[in-house]
This record gives sequence, structure tokens and C-alpha cells, in this order.
Amino acid sequence: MIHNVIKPNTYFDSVTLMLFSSKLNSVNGIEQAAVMMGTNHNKELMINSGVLTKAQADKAGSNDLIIGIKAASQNIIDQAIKVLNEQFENKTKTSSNGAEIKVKTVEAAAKAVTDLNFAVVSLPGRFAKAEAMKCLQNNMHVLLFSDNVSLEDEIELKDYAVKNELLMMGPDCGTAIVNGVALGFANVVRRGNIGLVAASGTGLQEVTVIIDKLGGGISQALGTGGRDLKIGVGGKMMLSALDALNADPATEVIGIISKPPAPEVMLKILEKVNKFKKPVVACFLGGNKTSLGKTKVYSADNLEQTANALVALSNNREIPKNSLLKTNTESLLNSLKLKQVKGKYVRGVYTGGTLAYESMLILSSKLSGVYSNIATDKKYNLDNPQISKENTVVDMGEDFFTDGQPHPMIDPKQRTLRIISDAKDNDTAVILFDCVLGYGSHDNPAESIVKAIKEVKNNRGDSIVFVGSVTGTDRDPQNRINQEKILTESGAIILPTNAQAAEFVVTLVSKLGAK
Amino acid sequence: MHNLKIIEIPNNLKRILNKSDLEISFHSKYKKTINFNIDSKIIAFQDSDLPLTPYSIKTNNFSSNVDVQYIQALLKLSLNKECKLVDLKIDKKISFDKIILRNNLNSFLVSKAERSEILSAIFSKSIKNHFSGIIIVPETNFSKFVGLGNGLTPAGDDFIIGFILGKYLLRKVTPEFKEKLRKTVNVKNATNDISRQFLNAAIDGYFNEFIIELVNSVKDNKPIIISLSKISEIGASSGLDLLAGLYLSLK
Repeated sequence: MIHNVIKPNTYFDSVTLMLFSSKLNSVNGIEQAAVMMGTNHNKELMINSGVLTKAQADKAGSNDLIIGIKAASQNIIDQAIKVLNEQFENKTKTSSNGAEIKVKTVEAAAKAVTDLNFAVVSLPGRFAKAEAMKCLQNNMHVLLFSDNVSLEDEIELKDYAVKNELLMMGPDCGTAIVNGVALGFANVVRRGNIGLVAASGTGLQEVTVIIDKLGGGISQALGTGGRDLKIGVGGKMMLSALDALNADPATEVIGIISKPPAPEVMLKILEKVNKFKKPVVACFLGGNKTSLGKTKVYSADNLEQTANALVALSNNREIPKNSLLKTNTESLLNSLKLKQVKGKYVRGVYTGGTLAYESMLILSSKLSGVYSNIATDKKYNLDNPQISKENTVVDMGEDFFTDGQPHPMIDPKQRTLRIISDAKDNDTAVILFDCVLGYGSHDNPAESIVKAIKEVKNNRGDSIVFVGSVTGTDRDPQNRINQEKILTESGAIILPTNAQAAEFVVTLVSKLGAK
Repeated sequence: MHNLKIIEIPNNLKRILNKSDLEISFHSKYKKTINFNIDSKIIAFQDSDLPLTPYSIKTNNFSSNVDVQYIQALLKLSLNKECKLVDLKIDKKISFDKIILRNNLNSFLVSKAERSEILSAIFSKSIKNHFSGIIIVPETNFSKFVGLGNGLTPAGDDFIIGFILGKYLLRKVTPEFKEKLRKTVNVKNATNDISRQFLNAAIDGYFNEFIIELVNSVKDNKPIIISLSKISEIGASSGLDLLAGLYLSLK
């Protein structure tokens, strides 16, 4: 049965009306309820939802408030009306219960909440520094999500933070987990005794996720921003974060993830961690192991190795030689109709920057000429990031693609189109991809990849292979198991880590060459 | 004893408020606003930290417990004395870089999609709500936006106001466009009286003071982030819905 109440000339703001609706919907036995202003469109919505009768709709005008309740019995409706009346009374008694404090400036926030000690700043780059500085001056640690902050501003912010014993994560810090709270793009991972510091967003995500898969847990995962280890900034935040992890009683093992630091910065880092009693694992992606010299730091080649080593050390076990997540690539290869595969090149189409970088390194070490928009060797820089050539790994999260567009981890549409366009090239034999889950990411990235796979397969059938990995956990909002299922059902080969996916592609491409 | 002091009124209300024997009756009240029906318009007396709108009067020492007699006396005593007249009509002759403004709006709005149904419909392809279908070609769907959504000013109305703003900036407001819109927003029961007033004001080129500030910053090529932040704080999602309309009008 439907029950309607019309309150003539009654106005409330939308938050209040949504609160009323949600209170009604939470009453046991209510099938559906809504509280809306009686404009024509709102009445239509309510009629279509089955909470408003046509007769009552005709009685209400656009300045009237309509309450619509659908329930199985009059008793339930009476109960709902009682709840609603209480809400109306509360609203007229006081317009704010103080549960949420609304402020418009950093200073007002600091004044309103006395123990405020952390701020996330996400503003267009040129305005970010001023707000981040205000937060630091109000004694807050800062995660600065914004990019396009000048180097000078970054140094000024970090100098202030170091002097005042605060963390200044970023600029361009996309991921962190602080005291169990995920910030920016981060995954739902187990808490534990492994502390991480990284100058890389998806690198940090991949390592935390693999640690979780291996049964380990994270104490803190701190980001520094991509430029921190360059000579200009001098690793100011990496050094502070390492001190913080060393002092953190919940952290027993420390991991460092980044591209190779400037040599002077590397020296400072090694000097610091050599004094630590806690074991340290470092992954300087693409760096030279010998640059670590004689230190007690364990050097890992890729993100998976980093996680493997950290989990072993966190359990006082020896570091295993082989990955604990190793898959049987032979049987995966056998499952493919290799004879039908046409072309010889691999195209890596990525949303995550560090994942793209890791794949580019793995592919470059075994295949000749891997072009990229993030190539370390200028010879292999793509002239036009929009157009792949031969073997290519493209990072779709780079500024070229995100200028004026949402990041592909938020809206993967551009990546979907790029997969389709790369697969149109008959020389493309393999598409390699990532699928990054977690807070902040698109709520169904696998679906957008499958959309591309289906379209490509319509034209190319089994003459092209799709290989990828899912960076996520079973507790992520998107759920790793579901996402992997969506991908494998479309015929894609899914490996447990990005490194394994890239290595599998190397094997696959060699087999295709030998065919 | 109240001590309300009128500090600012919009230029466009001067003529109405200066009439002798104004008919005034109570309309509605909130924490920081009290609305009165005055000369067939709904005019808000509001706290000084709210933006001046084409239909509001900004006051110091605001109280929502004043009655009609008090307001009548206040208007007689205060007008033309210490209160400032503010022009809320948009400057129609500004030149600006459409792409830069659009990119700035994109960066600002994308992270706020959760706060507004319309922004969710724009930025999250996976979220489907009643705006998802009509957001694709807003201009041909104005009639579907009017009055859609909850609150004092329905989200669909705020969106249209933002869209009109964009059209003014692009100098694309023709008499035909205005006429068509006016017919659409004035359909009986399409929206509530307060919101309809704002829609009609926007059609005539009148916007609230934060929007005028934004337009001035765009015109002078100054940073717009402060104006965007101020607008985004209006209402629960009103300001963001308005900015969503502006953003899509620049496509």
C-alpha cells in the first residue's frame, strides 16, 4: 500500500530531504520511501518508483513537500510516520546537530577541531602550495594529491615540514595508507608489520596488494611524490618517512619503492637505513643493484620480489628464491591457440604509471626495441604518444592523456579506445594491460577492458592474445575475484602480478617468433 | 530587540524596494535566511556570509526571528542610506580562453563528483541516475532538467543556471534562446517559486555575487580557484550543480 502526505509550502534543503528519505527507508518493513519537493519531474519520479499515487500527485504543487511511503501494512506506515515526525521536530528545533562541522578555510578547520593533524590537499597545481603550507603551519601532516606544483614550491613545503617534524607527502602523491586509513588511490589491505615508503603510486599499490595476497600486512604506506629522490629535492621526504617508519612501533620491516634516486640521494638513504635495526628491502626499479654497494639492504628487481622479500622478513623467514605466487605458465601457453595468433608485437596499454614502467623494463630486457611515452632511453621515445609502433608500452595516466580529462584509473574510456586502436594493427599479437582496483579507481575497470576485448575479437577472433593482471584485493570495493572472473571469461589470460604478466608476454612473444 | 542592519542590496531590486506601500508577507525561514513575499517576488533577508543573489538583501546582525512589521520598518528606514548597491548583471563582453576555463573546471569538479548527482552522471560512467540520460545533450533536454532533484533549488535548475552562464560567456544568448528557456521554466509546477525566480533572473543575465566574482576573474585572467571554492560551498550541491552546467556548456 502507498501512503502520501503533502505539506503545503514547506521547504527544506536537499541534504535534509535525503536524510528524511533515508530515515524512512531504514524503518523495518518499508519497501520504498521518498521525500521530495512536488515539482512535475519529481512527482513523475515518485510515481514511477511506486511511492506516489496519481491522485495525490495532482493535489501537490511545486512549492509543496511530498512524502511517499510504500509498505505492506498500515502498522509499518504508522511506524514510519512516527519516525518522520520525530525528524521534522528535530529539524525545527535545531538546524545543526554538530555531527558535521562545515568550514570554508584551513584556519577555520584548525580552529573548529583542536586535534586535527592530517590534511589531504587536492587542488589545481598552482593553488595547491598555498593551501598545503597553511595546513603545515597549522601542524598537520599533508598528503598533496595535486601535480603541476613547481619544484621550488615543493622544496619550500618540504623544508618547512622537515623543520617542524611533519610529513609532506607529494606533490603528485596518489597513494598512502596511514594508520589503516587509505588515502587517494589505495587498496583494502590487511594491517600488519610492514612499513613502506614509495615515490610511486601504483608501485605502492601493487606491493601492498601482493603483500596482502601473501598473507602479510601493512603498518604504514607513505608516499613522497615522484620528484622527491631527484637531486633538486634531495630525498627530503623519503628520509623523513624512513625515520617515521623506524620510530613506528607497529613497523618491523621497511620497504622502499622508487625509480633509481640521484646518486647523492641514494648515498643519504643508504647512510640512514644502514643505521636501522629493522630489515630494509629496496626496489629501485630499473636501477643497478651494484649501486647499493655493501649494505645490509636487500635489493629487489621488481615489485613482486619486493613484496615476497618483505613478507618473508616480516615472518623472520628466509627470503624465497622463487615467487610464492608463481603460476604454471606452460599450461597457460598450452591453453592458447598459438598457431592462430597473427602479428609479432606486444602493446602494453596501462592506466598505472609504475606498472607501465615495470612492464617496459621487463619487456625491454628481453625484447628488442620497446617504445614508450615514458621510455628511459630517448631512442625509444614515442614521437606521438597517440600512435604505437613495434613493441610499445604506453602509460595512459601521463599528462599528455590526462590534460583536461579524468585519469584513466577513474575513467578508463580512453584506455578502452587505445586497446581497440592498437589491436587494429595486424602486427599486434599481444595486448598487455593492468586493471587497478581500490578506493578512487573506477568501480568496474574489468568491464571497460572486456568491452575492448569483445570488439577486437569480433574482427580478429583468436589471432590476438590479451594478457594482464589485477592490482587489487578481495576486500576492495570492486572485488579482485569478480574482476578477474570478468576478464578470464572474456578470454584474457590473467597472471597474479604485473611482473608475471610482463614475463609471460616475453615468453609468449618468443614462442610466436619461433612458430 | 533585533538589530538587523541592511548592508547590501542588488541593483535590480532597488526599483521594487523603493515602492511605497509594499505588500509584505512571510514565506519561509532557515538558519541564515528569512524569505518574505514582497511585491509578488520572494526576497530573502540573509546573513552577511551568504552570497548576495538577485533576490536577496544582505544584513549584519542577522536574526530569523523578525516579523513582517519589523521588515516593513527596516526597509523604510534603511534603504538609500548606508546600504551598498551591487550590480549582479553579467558583463556580456568578456573574452576568455574556453579551453583553459573548461580544463580548470574539469580539474576542480572531477574530485567532487560524489557530492552531486549531476557531477556523478558526468564523471562516473558506471553510476546511473535520473540525470545520466539527459546530460549527454543538455540543450535539447532543458525541459527534463527543470525541477528535477531535491531541495530548495532543484539540482536540474542549478544546472540550467550554470549552462545559461556559459552561454552568456560564449556570447551565445540570443532572444530566441531566452524566449525558449523562459517558456520551459515557467511551465506550471515545473519548479518551485524560489527556484523559478533564479532561473528567470539568469535568463536575463543576473547571477549571484560569487558567480559575478568568477566572471570578473575569468575576464581579468586571474586565478578562479577561490571563486570556484566559494560557489561549490553554496547549498548541499547547488553550487556544484551550477558549475556542472557551466562546464558542459563550454564543451
